[in-house]
Amino acid sequence: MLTKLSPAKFSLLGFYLLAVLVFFSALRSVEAAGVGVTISPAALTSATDTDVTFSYVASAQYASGNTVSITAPAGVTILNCSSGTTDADGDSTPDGSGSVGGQTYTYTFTASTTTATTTGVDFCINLEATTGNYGITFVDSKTVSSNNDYGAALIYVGSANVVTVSANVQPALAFVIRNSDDDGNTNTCALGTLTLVAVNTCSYRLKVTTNSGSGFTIQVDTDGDLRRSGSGDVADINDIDLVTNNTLVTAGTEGYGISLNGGSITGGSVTESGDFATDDTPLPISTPTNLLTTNGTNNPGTTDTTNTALVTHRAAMDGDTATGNYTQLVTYTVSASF
Amino acid sequence: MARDYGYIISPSLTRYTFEPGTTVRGKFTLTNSFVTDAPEAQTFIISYRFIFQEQGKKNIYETTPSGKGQYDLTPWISLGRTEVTLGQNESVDIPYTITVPSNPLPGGKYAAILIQKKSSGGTLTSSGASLDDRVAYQIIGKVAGTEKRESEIVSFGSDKSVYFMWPNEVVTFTISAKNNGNVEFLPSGDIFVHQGAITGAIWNENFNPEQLVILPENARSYSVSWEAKKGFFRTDKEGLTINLDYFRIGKYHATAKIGYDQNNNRVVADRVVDFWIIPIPLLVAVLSLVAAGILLSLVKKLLTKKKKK
Repeated sequence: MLTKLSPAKFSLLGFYLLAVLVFFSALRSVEAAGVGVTISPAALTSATDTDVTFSYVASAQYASGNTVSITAPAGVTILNCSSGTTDADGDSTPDGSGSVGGQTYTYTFTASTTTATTTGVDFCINLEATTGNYGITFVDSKTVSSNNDYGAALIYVGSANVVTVSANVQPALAFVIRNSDDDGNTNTCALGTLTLVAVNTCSYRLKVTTNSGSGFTIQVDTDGDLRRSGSGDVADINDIDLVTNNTLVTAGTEGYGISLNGGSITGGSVTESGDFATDDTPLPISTPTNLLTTNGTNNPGTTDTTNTALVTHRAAMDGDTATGNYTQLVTYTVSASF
Repeated sequence: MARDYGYIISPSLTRYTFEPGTTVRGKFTLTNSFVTDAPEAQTFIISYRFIFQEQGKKNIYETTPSGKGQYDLTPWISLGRTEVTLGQNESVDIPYTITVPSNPLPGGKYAAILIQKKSSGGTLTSSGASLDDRVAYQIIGKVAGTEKRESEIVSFGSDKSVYFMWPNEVVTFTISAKNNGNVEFLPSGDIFVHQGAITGAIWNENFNPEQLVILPENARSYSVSWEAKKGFFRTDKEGLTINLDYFRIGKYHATAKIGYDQNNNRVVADRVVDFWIIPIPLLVAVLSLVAAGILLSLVKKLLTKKKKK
């Protein structure tokens, strides 16, 4: 349809639409609907009368005989200020005066305003209320009724508009045993099949997270030797002999121990405890022993091979090592340092 | 990838002062954050143990050692539950009750409540280790009105008396303290390094910022290190300045102001140690410069003499 219009008709249609738009926007400006109102101060002390300034920008100038009515809800005492408003629009010429009847303050203009539509008008009113939030409204009456304005604003008395936000952060402690790449949990360390020509190893990470400024302690204990049977609390043919402290497990010599890389923590330092500072170290048997301590917070990443401790089990056999599966239960206990 | 924290407990430690003949109810929160494990739900076993220190190092005991019974809180503890099953990222309060006898033994009381996965300790098909993990919530208490706060500073010293490699060397100070009382003892204070007056200290540091305590019948050492600030030039409130740490030489004093307990009162004592900084690298550099200067002037004199001839 539009494609059939000639350019002249098309232009005419455009002008017509433009004229309609201008007409409605002009009509809208004289509707003088709600205007923005500010009350300063808006936060009042409970049961304390306070002078406040009620302000807005009018949509048309006021003339003599026009009125503005500001109404407070029940529960709010409204009075004229001791120095009541005379110059409402601040142009240094008196415009009228206010008076209160019931819950309404009425300002009656005795002269025309000059800046009510630009800098606006201010009315001083005195308000008093108990704790609560209250809406203060106004309507005015101008010579041309279509120019009338209305609006409202809130006053906040006492702490009714206050939300106290609080959070309590407790010292927290988290612990998980992870694989050596720190991309999965584990509860085993499989050494595989021992041979005469190699040292078999397996590794995992002890991952502790804490916001405790004193750090944490990791304790280690076992249920006995790495053994194929029995309780494993006595060195015998049924277990892999413990490595001599601070010496390395070597291929072809029966021996079992761990090496510890305590890693680091994000908020302090790590101290490998006692014998664990030098590798290899035999694991304690039914004697809870400190493995490492730290002195600060630790917040390792989702995958973190720096702020986690790496434990490597190392085992070797010799010609006298009996055949069988050798196992052991190792228990790590984490607690906050104190 | 979901972040796996494993066990989470909060708080990790609670302190109490117990009134004889009363009952204390406490709790902490356990969260199952084994988010990458299957099955999703985990069952946790809850138990408690005696905790104490040996030579200042904390220990969680499977059985209370003889002679330490007076500090054992476990006989007073009862648990609201001994097992709990939680889905992933679910939390639950672990309640406990401490029933204080009407005529308890005096002093400190210590215990840990342990949380352990029921399924931990994995199954192996070859040689190796099954791993068990536990996390400990700790209770540090004392019986009101029975405290004996008594301690002593055993020693204060530096790791060397002369530092030849300064500023590439660290001076480590160590304070050893002993708890002769029956409740926990917290040594506190600062170490000041100066050349005469402590008010003119060139360095100071808190020796126990982590507030680590010493339990009764224990001694503990606290170390803190002084090292040269890095960088020849420094920017501080005075503007750009030369780092004087590079030019330290002579005799220095370290004064430790140590707060400790004596006759149930808090007192502060000064302990002083002297040490020397004789920086060989700096001296060698200075002497080399002087020697080079002398050598140059000699060469110049010789050349002048030769010219005159």
